[in-house]
Amino acid sequence: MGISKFRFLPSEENFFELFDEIAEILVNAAVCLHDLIVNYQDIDTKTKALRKMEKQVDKITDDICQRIYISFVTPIDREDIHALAARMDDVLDYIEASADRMKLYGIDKPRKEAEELAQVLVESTKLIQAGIFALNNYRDIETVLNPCIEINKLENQADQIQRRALARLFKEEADPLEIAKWQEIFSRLETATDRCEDVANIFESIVVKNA
Amino acid sequence: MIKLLPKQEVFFDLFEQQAETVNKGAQCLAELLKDFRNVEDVAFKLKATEHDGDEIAHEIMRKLNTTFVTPLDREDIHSLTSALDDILDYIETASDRMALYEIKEPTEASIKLSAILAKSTELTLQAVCGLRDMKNAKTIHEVCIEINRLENQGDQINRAALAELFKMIDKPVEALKWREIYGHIETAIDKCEEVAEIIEATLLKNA
Repeated sequence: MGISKFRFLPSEENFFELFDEIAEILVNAAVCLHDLIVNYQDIDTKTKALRKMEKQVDKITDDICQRIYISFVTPIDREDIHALAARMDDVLDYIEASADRMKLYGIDKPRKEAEELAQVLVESTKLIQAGIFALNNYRDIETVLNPCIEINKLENQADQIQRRALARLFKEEADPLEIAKWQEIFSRLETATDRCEDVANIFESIVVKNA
Repeated sequence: MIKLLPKQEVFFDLFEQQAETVNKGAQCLAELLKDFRNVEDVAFKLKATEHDGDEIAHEIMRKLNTTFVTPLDREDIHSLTSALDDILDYIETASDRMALYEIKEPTEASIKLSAILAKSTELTLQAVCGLRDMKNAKTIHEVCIEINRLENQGDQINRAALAELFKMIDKPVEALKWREIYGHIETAIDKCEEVAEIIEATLLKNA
């Protein structure tokens, strides 16, 4: 294509700003989750902060949906705009749910693999942010696909961490209730990384379709 | 009827290969549960099968990025290959957890669920093969309905199995292991349904 300045997300409707805002909140949420696990105190304040971020993203997502209806021209398909917002929202839902379960189940001290998984989430959400940036300052397919490849790698890494975490959990923990709680928390943390991969899949799908 | 270019046929070849690999994985899991031996070896073998599936999925994506005219909509090719990939991921995880949790013998429900999954992937393979020649839309549609029916059946077995598990008060840790494994097998069955939905949507679009 001979168009040098091409944007996938229509700027006139401020879609870019909105997606950028969501991406930034995702990074903040992952950092907050990581901090909650590493400095396991003020749990109430931290989980509340996460819930607030979740509400903010819900609101921005609604806003995006509204604007899809009123804009005549969207350079990418409406359903992609919608899917992107929905999948980014899912990432936050799982981040928030992970923190929430730790509080709800009265976890005394997070298991060490939770920190590793949260670290993966920090990196993955930063890559989502990079992907959004690349879509909006579109140069070539590679600049969008590279963060996607990295996100996929991180998802595999999270699989391995979860596997290790479960092996140790079933080996070392005697209390079945404790096992049940952590099995669920690890599953939510790992699913959050799966949802990051879903976002990456949408990035891929958008560039592939418009290639 | 437009004759497809040879280059486009490649997509169908790859889809069929991918669906065959998925089916191979599901048959392998079902056999393991019927004859529960060498769990670690089977889990290891399934890891290799999953890797094969990944390779085919990557090949499809590479082709997609370098092909100008595709036989199906680009996004449908993309979602079909990711959904097929997901099925195999869950099959692999199910077998991996059986090895990891040192499961000694299968439950009745796990045998049933894996048999349903094996049937679903067989039908999924059929539906995928049908894409090449959309003239048999009606047959493909029927196959997809059957995949849906199996998914409902899987749901019900899983639900009954969970109720059974929670009666295992003497072996709570075993119950927790199985609950997770059932979840993986059931999700694999769900993903077959997802493939069926994508294929049905594709048929409608290209009707």
